[in-house]
Amino acid sequence: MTNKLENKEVLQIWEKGKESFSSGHRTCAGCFIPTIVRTVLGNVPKGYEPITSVATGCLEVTSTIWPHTSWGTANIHNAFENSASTLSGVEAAYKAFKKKGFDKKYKFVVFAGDGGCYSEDTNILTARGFISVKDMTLKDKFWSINPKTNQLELIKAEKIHKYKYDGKLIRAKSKFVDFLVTPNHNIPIKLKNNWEFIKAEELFTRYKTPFTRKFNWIGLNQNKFVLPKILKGNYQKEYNSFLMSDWLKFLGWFISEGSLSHSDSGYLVRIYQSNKKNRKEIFELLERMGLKPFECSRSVDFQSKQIYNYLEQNCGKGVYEKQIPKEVLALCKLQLINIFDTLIKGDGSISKQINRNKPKIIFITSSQKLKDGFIELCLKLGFGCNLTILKDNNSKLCTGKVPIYRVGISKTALDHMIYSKRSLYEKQGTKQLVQENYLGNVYCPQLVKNHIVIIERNGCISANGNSVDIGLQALSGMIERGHDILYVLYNNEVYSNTGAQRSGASPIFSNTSTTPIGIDSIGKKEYKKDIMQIIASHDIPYAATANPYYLDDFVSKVKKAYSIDGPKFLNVLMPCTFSWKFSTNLTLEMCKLATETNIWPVYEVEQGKYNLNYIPENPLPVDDYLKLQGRFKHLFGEKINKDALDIIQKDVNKKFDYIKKMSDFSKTYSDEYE
Amino acid sequence: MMFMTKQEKILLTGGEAVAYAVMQIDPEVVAAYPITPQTSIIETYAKYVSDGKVNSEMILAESEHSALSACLGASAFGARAFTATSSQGLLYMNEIIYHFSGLQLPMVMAVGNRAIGAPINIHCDHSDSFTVKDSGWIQVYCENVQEVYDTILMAQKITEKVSMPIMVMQDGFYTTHSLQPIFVLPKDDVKEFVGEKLKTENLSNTKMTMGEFLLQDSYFETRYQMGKALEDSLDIIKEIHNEFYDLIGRKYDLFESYLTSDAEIVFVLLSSSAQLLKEACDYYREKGKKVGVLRPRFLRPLPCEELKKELKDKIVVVLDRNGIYGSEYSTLANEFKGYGKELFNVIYGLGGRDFTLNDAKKIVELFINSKDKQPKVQYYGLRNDIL
Repeated sequence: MTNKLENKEVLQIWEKGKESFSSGHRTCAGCFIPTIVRTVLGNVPKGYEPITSVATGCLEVTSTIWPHTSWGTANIHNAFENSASTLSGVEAAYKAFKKKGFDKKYKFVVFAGDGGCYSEDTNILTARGFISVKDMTLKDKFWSINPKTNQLELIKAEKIHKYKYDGKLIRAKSKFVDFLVTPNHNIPIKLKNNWEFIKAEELFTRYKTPFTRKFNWIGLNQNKFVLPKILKGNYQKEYNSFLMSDWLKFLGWFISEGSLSHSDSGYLVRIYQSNKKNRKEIFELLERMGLKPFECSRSVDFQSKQIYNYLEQNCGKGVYEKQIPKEVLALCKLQLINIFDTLIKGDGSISKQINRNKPKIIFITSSQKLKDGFIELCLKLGFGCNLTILKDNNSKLCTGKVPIYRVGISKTALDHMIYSKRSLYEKQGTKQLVQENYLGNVYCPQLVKNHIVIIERNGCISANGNSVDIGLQALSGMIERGHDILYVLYNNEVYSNTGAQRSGASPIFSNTSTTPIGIDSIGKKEYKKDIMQIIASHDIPYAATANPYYLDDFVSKVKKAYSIDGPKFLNVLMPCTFSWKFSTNLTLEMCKLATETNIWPVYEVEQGKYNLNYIPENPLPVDDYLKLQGRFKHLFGEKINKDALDIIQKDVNKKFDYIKKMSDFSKTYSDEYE
Repeated sequence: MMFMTKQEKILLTGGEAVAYAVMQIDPEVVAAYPITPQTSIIETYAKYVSDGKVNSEMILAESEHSALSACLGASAFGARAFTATSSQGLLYMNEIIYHFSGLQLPMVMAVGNRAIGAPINIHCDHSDSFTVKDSGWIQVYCENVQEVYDTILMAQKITEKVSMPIMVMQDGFYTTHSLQPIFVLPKDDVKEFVGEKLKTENLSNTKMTMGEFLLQDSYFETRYQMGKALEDSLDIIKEIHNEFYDLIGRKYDLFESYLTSDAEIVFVLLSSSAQLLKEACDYYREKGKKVGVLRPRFLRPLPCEELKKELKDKIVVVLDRNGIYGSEYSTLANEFKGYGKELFNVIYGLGGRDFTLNDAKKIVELFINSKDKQPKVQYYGLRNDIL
């Protein structure tokens, strides 16, 4: 399944867990609740404090008998059904305090049974190019670096934070780094090949901090470009496809130096170039592509309605609207370099001066879209770039009406340091790292994952059957509002604390005190509520079932949950010796059998995608599990109730099959809406 | 600093005034669920949030029960919390209302008094807040929009100093939707008056367990503590009234006495209808009749000693906007048993049954002219044609 944990590691987790939930509680012998609680709280990441809310139930009643408490965390018990909404309030209060500079970090965990920012002037790279942080919306996708794979990925935001800030912001400026952020803002830095986050204010405590612009990009490898056909009205030659490298080279020339004109004599595509050597290169390229070019004194032209149409639609009209087509930017590095080369040959220049402060390659354009696309191109190619905007009327390049964007590219200067005490320009005396007064709004997108953006940016735990029934409302509200809370449902399939009454989570034919067996009854008549499906349909970022017997899987799920911002749900199996009526030394055995019989499949649902973590090689019949429990004893009397066992087995098979199919399907499903 | 604060005169409804006051206080968490006639409070506040005028985190909870639970969590974390509700919503919060006072956590709640169902009715009477009269919350009833605004500001101080939650009532529709010109303070003065939240031991600074399980050996004492806290709060409330007077120049007391000192008959009632009784008393005073009005503001804690003194040897007529269900007197009248010479009870205005100046005059006349013929308890304005 997952990485096997060493015993040492498990003990460490539980030692830490013990700090949050100490001994002296009164849970039954054989109850795994303390283990579950310690596993969850023992995995709280370093630097965070857990803050927990507990629903009325076994856990609460056994651990908070006044004047004692087992809880070493800040912990609140409110009522039976509202542990989720109570902790939602705590989380909201924390967010409000954070705005005022409260700097503790928490992981919010609910235990229930059957329940740092950018200043206004920052721009951020999204799918629609660089936008001001002021214009961020939840519809935007942000270019982000996956800290594990170092890849550039487009990630959705689940929240856009905006709030007023009146205080000091931290400014870091070097050749290729510039940001103005709140002191508690998470800065991603790469230390020894691992991405880590440090607070902006920590930059002052370090003598130097390494920053890198080296990212990976895989992209699509397509070696042919298929030109869209014109549906009707074209009497000219139609081209099917070109070699991708040729097409991209052409595009680069066109975007930087090309123009379109349409007259009675036809649809003309023209690439201006006064440099004779380049003109020859362009001519040869177009000839190779079969475009029948003709060379003029200052340009190379060809006629094609089909290509004219494509360029007009995809590369923008007019010099201020030029852009790189999106489909090009999805390609791999090997291909992208082609368009980069010719773009530079067209609108760029290669500086001959060997001056440390001047970038070697420069690209100039007056189109904002092209500027954004070009920077994205550079990042994907693994080049460092910085941007200067020329608005000065005195510059010979600038007409004064529209800004000119000047991108400096460096293929080698990708790693650099910010020194907390060194001056940037010794003559000007500007330090690299300063604090600035700021009064205005600060912004931050909260991405679904990765948490590293290009710009130029941060968790509650109870047992008694109430998340499935009475606690469901509060849980649903909490998920819908997106609170950053981990909800751990320790599922004992019954209302244990009050005497083993049935709950919505109780399985069919189980003997409970409110569905007792009798002359007219063989136990609960209804199947148990599939709480996972209910929760998954909320589009929750992460939901998973867990089984304490499969500890490695359980621990990895807890860790994963802590790494995700937003609502998370863990449905942990918790066999109850009291309600299920089995000997107190068999809890672990029950856990194992539950999953080996497929009654308790161990799976996760992440953003709607199912993943079955463990498939037993030889699944056992449900009888092996049921016959050991007093609550099903009546099915194994003098005459074994084959019909009832059949019903149970069929339902277990059906539900397991569904999860398996969903898991297989999820592997192949690529979300076109992502 | 006497009356130095520059106040602005603006037009606000009762609901808007609550939102305005809360906006100036700017609590960390506002969690609410909409219900008529409270909706203008949360809608106005939501607009402040979306315009960035406040720093509050606003939780649009999926029910009143969850809304108050979230407020409890926030208050437990040491934050200022606020919510508003009426009628059915208040009933749905019932469980958590007791949790709040049981944990002795501070918060401010605004209630737009509305009749409780069944049958469903969205108009004014006092039955809703009476259901939680003895929950341990401080209860204060406001007559007009100016008082609503002022009381919310004072309530924030009171709740923190006493460390018991407080609910501020106003008549649904009659006050919540009534546009009145009121004086408001500048935001900075409000911030100064209300001050920083009083520091307490809470979840944000202590690894404490809140909401523990108490067995037979210790629960009893918590109830004693709650009662004591409410008793002791009387002095604190008076103190804060004085502070407010120094700042604003408007004097508030635990109850309002109108021409009671030499009155023979005193009419006792809550909230907006008191205005009408005062006018009726003026009318009859001109005719030489000795009548007066006592409008309680704080129903809990009830300033019993002072009320007893005030009503000594007088004929007390309690007008109650709440029904009577198997007891000798209705809810409000029961509070005044034994205070005056004689006690009469008039039930009026249930479910928003209108109560006009003429009605007020009629009642005053009834007790002036034929007091001896009046039953202990009577219903005013009952429609016999549909009974």
